[in-house]
Amino acid sequence: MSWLTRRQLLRRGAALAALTAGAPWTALRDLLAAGDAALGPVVLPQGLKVLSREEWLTIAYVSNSIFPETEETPSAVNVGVLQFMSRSLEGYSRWERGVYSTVAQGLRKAAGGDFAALNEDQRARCVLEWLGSLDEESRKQFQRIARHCIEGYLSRPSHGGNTHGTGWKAIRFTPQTHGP
Amino acid sequence: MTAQDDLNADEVDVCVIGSGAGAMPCALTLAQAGLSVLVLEKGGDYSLDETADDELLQTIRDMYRPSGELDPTVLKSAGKTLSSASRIGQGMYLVGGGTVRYAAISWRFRPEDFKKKTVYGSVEGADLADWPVSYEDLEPYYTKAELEIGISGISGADPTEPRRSKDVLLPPLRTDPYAELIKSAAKRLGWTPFPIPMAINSKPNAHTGTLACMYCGWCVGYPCEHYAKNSVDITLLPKAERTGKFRLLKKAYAQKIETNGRGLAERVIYSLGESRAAFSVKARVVVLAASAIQSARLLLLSASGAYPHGLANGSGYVGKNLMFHFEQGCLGVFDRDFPHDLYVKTGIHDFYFPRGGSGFVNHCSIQSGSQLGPIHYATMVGHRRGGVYGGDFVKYLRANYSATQVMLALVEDLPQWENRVGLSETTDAWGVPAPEVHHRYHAMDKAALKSTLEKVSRLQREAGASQILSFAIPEHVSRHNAWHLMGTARMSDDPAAGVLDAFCRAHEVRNLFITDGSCFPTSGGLNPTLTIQANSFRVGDFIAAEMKGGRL
Repeated sequence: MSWLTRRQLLRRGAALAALTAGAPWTALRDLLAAGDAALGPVVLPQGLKVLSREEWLTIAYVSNSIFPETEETPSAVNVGVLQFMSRSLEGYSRWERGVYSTVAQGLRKAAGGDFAALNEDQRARCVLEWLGSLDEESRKQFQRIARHCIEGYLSRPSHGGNTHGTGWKAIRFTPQTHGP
Repeated sequence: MTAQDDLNADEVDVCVIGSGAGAMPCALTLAQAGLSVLVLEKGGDYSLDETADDELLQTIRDMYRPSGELDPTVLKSAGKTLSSASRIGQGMYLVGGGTVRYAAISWRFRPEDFKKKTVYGSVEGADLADWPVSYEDLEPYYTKAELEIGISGISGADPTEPRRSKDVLLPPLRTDPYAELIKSAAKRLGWTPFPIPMAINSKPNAHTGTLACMYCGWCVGYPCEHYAKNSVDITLLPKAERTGKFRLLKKAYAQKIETNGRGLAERVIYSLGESRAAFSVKARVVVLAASAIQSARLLLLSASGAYPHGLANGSGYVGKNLMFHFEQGCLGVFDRDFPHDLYVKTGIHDFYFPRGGSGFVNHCSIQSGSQLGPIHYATMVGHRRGGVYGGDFVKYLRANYSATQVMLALVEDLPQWENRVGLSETTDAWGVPAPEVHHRYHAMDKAALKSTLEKVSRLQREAGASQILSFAIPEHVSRHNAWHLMGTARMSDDPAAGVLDAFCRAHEVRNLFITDGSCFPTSGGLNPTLTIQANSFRVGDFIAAEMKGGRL
């Protein structure tokens, strides 16, 4: 694939705003900024199942573009979102394995090869370009993964994600379970 | 004799289908009258372990609803299939039904709710009707339900609330910072805020034996691990079991009601667990309370030579006039954090009755809540951002989650003939035709919701919200999440204009009764559970008297 310059990306972002229903341009710009920071190297946790290593690497980058590491919050991968997804794909969400594979394949195609093998800038641009190319059905699939990412970040730690409640702490949620 | 033979030899005075709000008051009344009662519940028990306050399991994966693949509902609107495997109308497949996870809001309907046609006349496109019972008919049973279930609140605090013959309410639940903000703001606007009557104990309830609320915040959508939310399984069911006349069969899926040569209901055919093997129980009386979609489905599944269009469906009204409510939330973002709460607190009914020139006849309720669960909140924020996430998304969640409080608009869903339950060509895992639900909101429903949301938004701003997120739930999502299921077998004195008489007895099948929300001719603008419970107590008294008097 041919890589876009940042200026071209910003122009592309304006087109994406029209493509993505209701997506404000500023949010896309934020995503780009976040993506630059989020798509750095990831270390896959042990024990992930169902998907291939390359697929997991791709999903890891996608997840970190949704919940990137910020000054005050950990990234999706560091909160355990992948472990949550792996466990879900073995059980409750087992019929959604195809969604993950399709998204990983889409990014592989956009990257012209192994998405995870790209450098950080290339990954950021690839994700944005890929998001801009999605048809309605593909956007729904991306939203499914985004939904799972949110669940892995914010559900009870017993489901594999939100390690030690770090996702809850990130949004300053303190659950009460035993009265005042 | 095999276990199956034992089950098939079963013979009882009354077979009740369902164990929720519409079932248990009637079942308890009949068992206390000395009649043998068998309850068939499609679900099983629930757990109060760490899953009880698990947002993912309870309110997203709906752990007590079977999956849409195993037990689908086909959902259609305006001729378009919205979902071929919806979970709408499954209620909660649990002992105690929907009351286990409900919000526990426990209103009495207003006298005008029972006289919709008289008060408002005809409305184009809607099938308004009066109930064949009045508020006064139901009033003693509201009192009974408030006592037997256990309701906290202040009698008369709601200016639209009708007369109570006796005040049996527990004191109101405690207030909190958000409720105080809302109360002050409402008063500044000249409105009258009041604590919503709740089936949650503000103090230990000696009458039901249930405990006081611990204010842990896990109420709406969750079973109560503190035995303080008065679901019927912890209030009425234990009393029924103590009579020695009551049996509960769990995981029992009723699939057909068979009639005898005289056209009377005689047997209920059911399966147990995942097996397709059929069992049956013989009963003198059948009480159907499986919730409005499933009850209508069972009547349609019970078609026979004598009842070719479905059991008790000579009028054609079975399945028709399905009603939900139209609910939407409005989030206010404040400049302070609030403690985590998921229960409902303050009501506003200054606009319950529509004013002249409003352009709608719907009754409308405003109910302040508290926080959304974190997963729901983050999902909603992501949706509002057009599905775009990233660093700004995370920063927004962090800055605003604890500062955001939700308020709800709940609007009456006008009955419409075309809003209906039928049978689908799709079958469930047992090979039984799934329900096919058709529903679209009336133009007045939409106008009423818009008007109410404007008032909700005004109140949130007056209370100090700097930002309003009026999350426009798509109509089909509002239906998909509907917990309030009504209509489908309406009461009417005229056998040609309804399925049931004033005592919820099928006009055509004199030993068949329906005591869930199916019997409602109109839906009111209020959460329906207490009305379902009161009516179920009333019908229970009637059946007991008829059976004791040898007329049934």
